[in-house]
Amino acid sequence: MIELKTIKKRFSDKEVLRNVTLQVQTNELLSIVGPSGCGKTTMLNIISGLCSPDEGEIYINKILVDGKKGSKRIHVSPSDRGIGYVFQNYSLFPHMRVDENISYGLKAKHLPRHEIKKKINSLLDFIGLKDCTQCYPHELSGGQQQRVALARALAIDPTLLLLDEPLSALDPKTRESIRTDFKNLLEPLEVTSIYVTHDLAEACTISDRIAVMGEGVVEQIGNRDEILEKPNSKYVANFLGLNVYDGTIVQAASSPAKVKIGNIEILAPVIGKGDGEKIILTIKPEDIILSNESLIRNPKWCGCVCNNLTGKVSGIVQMKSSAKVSVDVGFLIESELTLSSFKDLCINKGKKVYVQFKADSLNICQG
Amino acid sequence: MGLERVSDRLIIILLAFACLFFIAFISFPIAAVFLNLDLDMLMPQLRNPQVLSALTVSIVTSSFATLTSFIFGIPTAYLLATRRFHGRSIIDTVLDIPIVLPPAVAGVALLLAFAPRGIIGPTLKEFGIILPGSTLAVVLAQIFVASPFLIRSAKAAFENVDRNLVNSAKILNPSRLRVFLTITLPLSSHGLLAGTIMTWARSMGEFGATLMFAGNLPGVTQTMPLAIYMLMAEDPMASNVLSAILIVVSFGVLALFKILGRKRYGARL
Ligand SMILES: Nc1ncnc2c1ncn2[C@@H]1O[C@H](COP(=O)(O)OP(=O)(O)O)[C@@H](O)[C@H]1O
Ligand SMILES: [Mg+2]
Repeated sequence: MIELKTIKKRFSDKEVLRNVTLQVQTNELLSIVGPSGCGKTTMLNIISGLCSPDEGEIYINKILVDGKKGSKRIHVSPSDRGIGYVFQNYSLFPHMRVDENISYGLKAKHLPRHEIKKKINSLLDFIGLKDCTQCYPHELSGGQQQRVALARALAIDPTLLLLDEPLSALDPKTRESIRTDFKNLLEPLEVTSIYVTHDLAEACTISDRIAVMGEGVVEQIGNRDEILEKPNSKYVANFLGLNVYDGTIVQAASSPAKVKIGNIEILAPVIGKGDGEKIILTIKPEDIILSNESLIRNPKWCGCVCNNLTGKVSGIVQMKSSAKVSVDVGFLIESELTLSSFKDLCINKGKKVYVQFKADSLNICQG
Repeated sequence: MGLERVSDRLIIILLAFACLFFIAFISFPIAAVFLNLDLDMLMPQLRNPQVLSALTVSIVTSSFATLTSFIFGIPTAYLLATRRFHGRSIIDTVLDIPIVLPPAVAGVALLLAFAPRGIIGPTLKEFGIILPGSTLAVVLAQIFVASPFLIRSAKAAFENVDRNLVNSAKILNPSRLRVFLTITLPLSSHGLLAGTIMTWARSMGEFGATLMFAGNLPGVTQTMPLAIYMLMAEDPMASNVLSAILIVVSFGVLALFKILGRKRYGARL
C-alpha cells in the first residue's frame, strides 16, 4: 500500500503540488488523470524519491520514506524504495542493448549471472520481444520501446510501479490500439501501480479506479462510474467536458426541486438542501436532446420528469462521429448528437430549437 | 514571379561567391606551405635536432597540459552542468576568460603571478620552483589558454545527457559513481573527447603566452610555434617543414573531431 499525506512542493515561485493526499491499496492499479502541467510528473518524482517534498509524508507499505520522524527528516533514496518507474519518453539507455537495459537494475543489485539471465528471458517472454534482445533502443518501434521500459521497471520486482504517460509518445493511431494491449499486460501483474495520463479515455480503459488531478491537488478519486456520473467539483466536470452551471434553489420542497440557472428555472433532483442555497449542476452533452418540435414523446422517457427549453443555436462543431451544438436557452447549453441526428435536424447557426433533458440526468456536485 | 526567380538566383550566386572566397583564402596559404616544401630537404630537416626537440617539447607539454585540464576540467564541468548554486554563472564566465583574452596578456598575467618577482613567485622560489624558463611554465601557459575549451565542451556534453536517463538509472542503481560511469560518462563521451582533442590542438598551437611566460629555450621551452617563428629568419626551410608538420597534425585532429562528432545511437542523442 502507498500513502501520500498532504504533500506540498514548490519550484521557486510556483506551487506545483498544493496538497496531495492519496492512497493506493496493495496490488491496485490506480490511474491519475489531469491536464498537462498540473503536477503529475512532479508527484511521481516525489513518490520515487528523485525529488523531495517540501511538506507531507509518504509511506510505502506503512514504512515512512519521506517526511518527519520526530525532529529527523527522512528521505529514503530512490533505489531503496523498491520502485519501478517507466518515464514519459521511456528513457531507455540508448547505448545499451535491450537485454542490457532490462538487466541494469539486476546488475546493480549484484544478482548472480544465471538468475539475471533467467529473469531477462521471462521478462522478454512477458513483453513478447524475444527476437529483439540484441537490438538497440533506436532500432525498436515506439510501442516496443515502451514494453522494454516496462520490462526494465519490472525486472527488480518492484513493490510499486509508476508509469508516466507511457503511451503519450506514440502516435495517436497506435496509441489507441496499444491501449488495450497495455491494459492486458498490466492487469495480471500483482504489483501496486500508479498510471499517469492526461487522457481521460486512456485512464478509463486502463483502470477502474481513477484520480482526477487539478492544479496541484487531487480533485476527485473514485471508480470510473463515480467520476463520470458524479463529478464532485466544477473542475472535474469541466475536465470531463460537461455542461457546468451555478444554480440557486428556488423550491427545495417540490420533487424534483426547482432550481434557477440565471433567470431560467429548471427541475433538478436536489436532496437535502434548502431554498436559496447555491449549488453546482452538471449534465453530459450527450444527455441533451435537440428537436425541431416541442415535446417529442420519447417512449423511453415515459414517466420521467423532463426539462423543456427553447433556444437559438449559437455554435456548431462537427467531429468524426458526432457533432457538438451549443444552444443559448438563457444560458449556454452544449448538446452532443450523433452525426445522423445532426443531419436530420438540419441545424444551422441562429436556428430555433427545442432542448430537452431529463431532470435525473442532472448531477449536483457534492464537493 | 520571373523577377523573384532572378533575385533568388542572384542571392545564391552571392552566397556561393562569399563561400568560395573563404575557401580560397584559407586553402591557398595552406597549400603554399606545401608548395614551398622541397621534398629533398624534408628528410634532413626531420633529423634537424632543433626541429626534433621542438616537436618533442610540443607533444610532451601539450599532452601534459591536456591531461591536467582533463583531470581538473571534467569535475569542474560536471559541477557546473549538474548543480545550481549561487555564483555559478560568475564561475562560468571566469572560466571562459582565457578564450577571449589575448595570449600575450595571458603571458603577462602569468608572469605577474608566478614569476620570481610576481605575487607568489617568491614563495615558489623558497620551494625551489622557478617557473619562467622551465618546461612546466610551458605546460601552465597551455593549461591557462586551452583548458576552457575542454570545460566548455564537457559542460555542454554533460548538460546534453537526458536527465530522465540519469534518473532512471538512479532508481535502479544505488551507487552514484556507478550511475556516472555507466550512464553519464558513455553518453557524454563524444563531447568529452571532442573537448580533449580541441584542448590538445589549442595547446599545440600556443604561442604568445608561452613566449612571454616560459621563454624560448630550445629543448626546454621552445615549442613548435616558437621554433617556427625563430627559424623563420635563420633557416626558412626548417620553419617551413615544421609548419607542414603542424598542418598535418591539425588536419588529423580536425578529421578525428569530425568522425567523433558524428551522432551515435540513432537519433536519440
Ligand atoms: N524542476 C523544475 N523546476 C521548476 N519548475 C518545474 C520543475 N519541474 C516541473 N516544474 C513545473 O511544475 C509544473 C508541473 O509540471 P509536471 O509535474 O511536469 O506536470 P505534468 O506532468 O502534469 O504535465 C509545470 O508548470 C512545470 O513547469
Ligand atoms: Mg508529465
